[in-house]
Amino acid sequence: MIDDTQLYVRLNALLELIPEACAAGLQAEAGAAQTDMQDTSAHGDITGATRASYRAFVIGGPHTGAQEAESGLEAAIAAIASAVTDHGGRPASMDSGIVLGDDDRGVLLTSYTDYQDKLETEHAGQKAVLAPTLQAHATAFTKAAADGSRAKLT
Amino acid sequence: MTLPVQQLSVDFYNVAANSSALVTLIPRLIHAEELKDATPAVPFGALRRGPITGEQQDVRRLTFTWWWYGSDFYTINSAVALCEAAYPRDALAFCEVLQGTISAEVTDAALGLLARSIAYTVLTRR
Repeated sequence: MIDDTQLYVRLNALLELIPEACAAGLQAEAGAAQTDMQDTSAHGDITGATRASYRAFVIGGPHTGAQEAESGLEAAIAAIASAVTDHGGRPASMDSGIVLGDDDRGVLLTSYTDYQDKLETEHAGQKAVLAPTLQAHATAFTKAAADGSRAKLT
Repeated sequence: MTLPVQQLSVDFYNVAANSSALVTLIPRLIHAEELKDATPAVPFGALRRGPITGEQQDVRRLTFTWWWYGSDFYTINSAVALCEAAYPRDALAFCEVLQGTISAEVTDAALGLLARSIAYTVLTRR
């Protein structure tokens, strides 16, 4: 008779590594997406607050996003405070409404101004940045998650 | 034979323009850049061409977004559904057409119109 207890224990231990392995892969691609957003030519800058506050970061499990949200909001506040021209837009932060399971990991693309929705939608997305960046990086995000878990398994 | 990827933008637009069901509901289809000059009467569809990524002679990723405008979301959502039907995975020869995010029902504040978008990615080695 074969005692497979240890096999199951080790497989379970391996499974517990997968979410964080995926997160590590996603983190690298999130950095590339954030750089692309901050380098966008889709819109210009009056205060620079939106550009400065673009963030792309891993969420789920231990990744609450609180630190990135604070960083993004502070960047928007600083940009608007130091801007010569006030266009009426304000720094803003709100709950994304995204709920993930314990083993789920994802990437959130966002910015911290109260006019981002307008940029994404006006004139059929003429100044949109978040949606096009997600489109451009979607396959890379999937590959990054797979590569992260593969690296942990090999 | 290598065909310019720019031709795919024309081909992509023509898929919707050649959909009789879609054009019956939304007769006016434009390129989003035209909105800088004038706003058509609703309902209309506006195609936004996004970035092209990937390396030459490797897989290219072309991104498009159809924005559907109307005076009510019943018409707009019908257009989104017909748009989905018009673009099966093999809608373009030698390409893979992937349907992406459908936006929330929004108001385009600049135009003062109701709208909803559907995003596409076209993968090709052409």
